[in-house]
Amino acid sequence: MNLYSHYSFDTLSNSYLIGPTGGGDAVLFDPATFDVPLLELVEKQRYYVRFVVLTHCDDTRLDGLRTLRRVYDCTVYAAHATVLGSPAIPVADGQVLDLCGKPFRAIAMPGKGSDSVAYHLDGFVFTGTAMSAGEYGSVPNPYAKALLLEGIRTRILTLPEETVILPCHGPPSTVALERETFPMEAPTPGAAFP
Amino acid sequence: MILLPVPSLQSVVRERPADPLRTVSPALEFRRHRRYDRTMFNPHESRTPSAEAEELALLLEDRRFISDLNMPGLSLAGIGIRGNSFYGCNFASMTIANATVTECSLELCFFPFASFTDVTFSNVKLKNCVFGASRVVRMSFTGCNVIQCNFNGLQAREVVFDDCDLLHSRFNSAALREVRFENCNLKETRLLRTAITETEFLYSNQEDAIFAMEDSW
Repeated sequence: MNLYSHYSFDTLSNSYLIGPTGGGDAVLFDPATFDVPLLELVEKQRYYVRFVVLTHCDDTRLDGLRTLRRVYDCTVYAAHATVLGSPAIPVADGQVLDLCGKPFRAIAMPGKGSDSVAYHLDGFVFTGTAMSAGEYGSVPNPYAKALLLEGIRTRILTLPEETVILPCHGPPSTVALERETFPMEAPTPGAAFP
Repeated sequence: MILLPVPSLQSVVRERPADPLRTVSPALEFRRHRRYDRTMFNPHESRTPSAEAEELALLLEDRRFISDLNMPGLSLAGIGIRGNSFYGCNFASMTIANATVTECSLELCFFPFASFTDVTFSNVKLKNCVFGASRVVRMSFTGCNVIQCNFNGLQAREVVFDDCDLLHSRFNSAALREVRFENCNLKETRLLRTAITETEFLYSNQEDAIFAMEDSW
């Protein structure tokens, strides 16, 4: 498996391309933009973007998907059945997607929103906007914050410590590093509204 | 953990016998002949228990582009690296001292829980690299692109960032003592919950850095 990170200077966001050595069908995570450098990366590796996996369904951050769909006949996986007005394959918590021969396990991230899903692939976890290095995603209220932090604590930080965290925004990290530095100060969800 | 018994890794390379038939471990031979093509290391792969420093020396000599190295716990002293590119390499818990890294590029390289002492980075392009929870003493970054790198939990003392682009890098929960940011781009650089002591921001866009997030919850 080859993994490529694409950083968009326009949206300050990351996309991740995963595919086999030598070309073939590939998986693309969170195409916030689909710009020339990303296209060149796909073409240089002789990939065809067969699958698009979304960790969130925020329309304002999926401009790249519009472009991508004009170029590739790709299947989109997301928490919702419709993304940008087009059908997507809904993903449920715990579901394992077999994409390009690799098992991607969906991890729902409650608190960030019903559309927020992380994906775990042997040694890597794609956390989307729910969690980044030393920070959690934006939340609308204290209950959501507590729920999200609980999800991060029990669903992400319990993964093997060498697991690499690949977020939608910001630099990568590891589970071991986040156990040391992540600000886990919120109360439990039940305690948020006693 | 392997400590180089020589003052410089480059000297290891120079003194290496020219005999192409010299014996090396099968794992090392495999490494030398495998295709290096921006492949990411597998975090679950067990590291090579021996010959790591030698392996790195050989790779530095043989190849400009190096990827998919999994060398946690590596210890190096007196190393000089120039002109190499690294991609998707794991050097977690590395110890490195008295080293210079010049005109190299590193992307998706991991140095968490590492120790850097008297290390100089000059004209190095760093992107998506992780230095979190590392201990850094007397280190300098000069003319470097440090794009979206993770310095969270860093323990830094006497560190200089001179003429560096630190776009979107993070120093959350770090402890910075006697650190100087001079002529640096700090756009979207985050220093949340960072303990800053005797630290200077000279000719840098400190106003574009983020020192606190609005979170009323």
